[in-house]
Amino acid sequence: MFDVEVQNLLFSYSKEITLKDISFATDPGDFVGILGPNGSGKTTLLKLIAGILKPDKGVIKIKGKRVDSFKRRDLARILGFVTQELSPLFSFTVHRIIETGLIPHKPRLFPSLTESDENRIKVALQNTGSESFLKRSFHTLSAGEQRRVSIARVLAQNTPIILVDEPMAHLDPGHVVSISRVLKKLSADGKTIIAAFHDINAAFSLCNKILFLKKGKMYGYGSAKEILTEVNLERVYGTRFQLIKGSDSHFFVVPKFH
Amino acid sequence: MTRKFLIASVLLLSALLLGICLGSVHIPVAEVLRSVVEKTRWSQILWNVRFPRVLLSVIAGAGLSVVGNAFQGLLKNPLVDPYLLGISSGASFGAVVAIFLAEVLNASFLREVPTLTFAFGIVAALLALILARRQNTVPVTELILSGVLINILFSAATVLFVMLAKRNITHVYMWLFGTFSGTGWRDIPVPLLSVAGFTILTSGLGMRLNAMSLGETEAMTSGVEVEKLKMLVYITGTFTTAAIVSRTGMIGFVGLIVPHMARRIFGNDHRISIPTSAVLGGLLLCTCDVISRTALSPSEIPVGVITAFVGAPVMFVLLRRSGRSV
Repeated sequence: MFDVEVQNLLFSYSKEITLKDISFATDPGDFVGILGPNGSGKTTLLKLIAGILKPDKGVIKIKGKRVDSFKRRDLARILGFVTQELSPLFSFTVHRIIETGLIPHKPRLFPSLTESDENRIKVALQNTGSESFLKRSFHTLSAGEQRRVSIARVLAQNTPIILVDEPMAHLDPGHVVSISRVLKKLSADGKTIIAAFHDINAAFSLCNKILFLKKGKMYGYGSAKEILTEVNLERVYGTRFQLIKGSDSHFFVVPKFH
Repeated sequence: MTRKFLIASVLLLSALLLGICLGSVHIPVAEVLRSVVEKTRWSQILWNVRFPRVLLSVIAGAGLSVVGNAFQGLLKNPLVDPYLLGISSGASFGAVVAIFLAEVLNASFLREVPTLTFAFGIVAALLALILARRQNTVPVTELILSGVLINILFSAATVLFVMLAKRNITHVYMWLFGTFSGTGWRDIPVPLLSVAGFTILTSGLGMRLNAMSLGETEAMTSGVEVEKLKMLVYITGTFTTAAIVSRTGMIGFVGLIVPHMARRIFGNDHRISIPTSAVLGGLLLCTCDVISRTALSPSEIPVGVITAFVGAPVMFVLLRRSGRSV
């Protein structure tokens, strides 16, 4: 049984079609990177998989069951979503933010936190390297630290499938590396991750599968090595790229400016 | 935290006692306590006028503050108040119609029984909800806009009605700025039960309201049935507000500002800020009512005017002290 299965997906916000003919499936433990230019439908695809948006046509299944047949609470026990930017209205402490990840596992009224819940919050913070933030106000953290806390919130939710939207957007190289390490560890722990990326090199180093989107259509889906070729990159992004082999046998993608 | 809550509770009890003692006739504390256990010359005024009035001011302050707090968190908007769904203008229209009919039909009971006010408040809120509804969801922007629209429509209808009726508008004027004048025990049970019920419900839903304050997507993917939660809080909050407004008239400011005061003093967690909003709201409105009936005694200043004069400087001090945005 696939963790996530998408069949013949069609979706439009208005008259213009945003996503068309999208079909792919992920096995447990896969790290799938969704790549494509701005406006190609990456975030929309993640929202459809999370059941936030409803497709016009096609089927999305999570663990073999249609996503629209899940109760929110049940779906939240198997699928977590790290959104692009967490922007709480009020200045909550990091603890208050992370504990919202426990909602699907607690009673609806007057939920109280047990010792094991507090432990789960602690482990989520440790796994994202943010244990020192526990009592700090979320608004006082840097963008990279906030992203780590967003991931910790979903880790506390303890789901086998995690969707991540643009994990490295607007981050400096130091934070890109630290977020990469966090995601790598999650993948090594057996989580299925589907993440939308702008940073091709981050996707190259993290993902075992790549889904290419171009103008809302699926350009290709397969292993990172198969898909991330100079020809494919040029066709998808409309600019020429060069693949460079690094000293540790990793490949890097560099756009050609001249 | 516990110390701050204790201080606020002691202040509330002091305001209650002050509200009972002070008025057009000042009654000593000892006489008040004696009147509770035996019949005194003050018993009549205390039991029939002061007790219900002070109690309603606390209930109304608590209720408006709790509804304001829950609506702000739910809609992720710090400028929302309990009158969001047009309930104030709907209730105002109902009050004007009731006052008019009471005079025309010589049926004074219409002025005393807040049925029409309550009914029009609920009708306005339901209309706003229906107008905002899109394919089983109620988007926040649409809801705020439809609330504004309903407010404008009912306000215009109220002005037109007052003009066409060509009647003395003193009662209407008092109602539009809020008053606890003429409160009796009959005015207590419905607001008391609805405010207590709403405070318990939303405190219990505090963690979910925290998730809503992160954003609807975050709440949804954390397992919150967002649309069901919104409808539950809108409907119960609207009922609570209508139960208060139909007895006290329009009291502004409390439902908007007290939640922010509670957050700044006790923190942003809804499990804490909702019950503490109730205490602070009760304290503020009870104090303001005492001022409203003693400042220019024997005349009474509408309580809504006092809430603004007392609440604004307090909020200003809190803003300066914390030095951060909400």
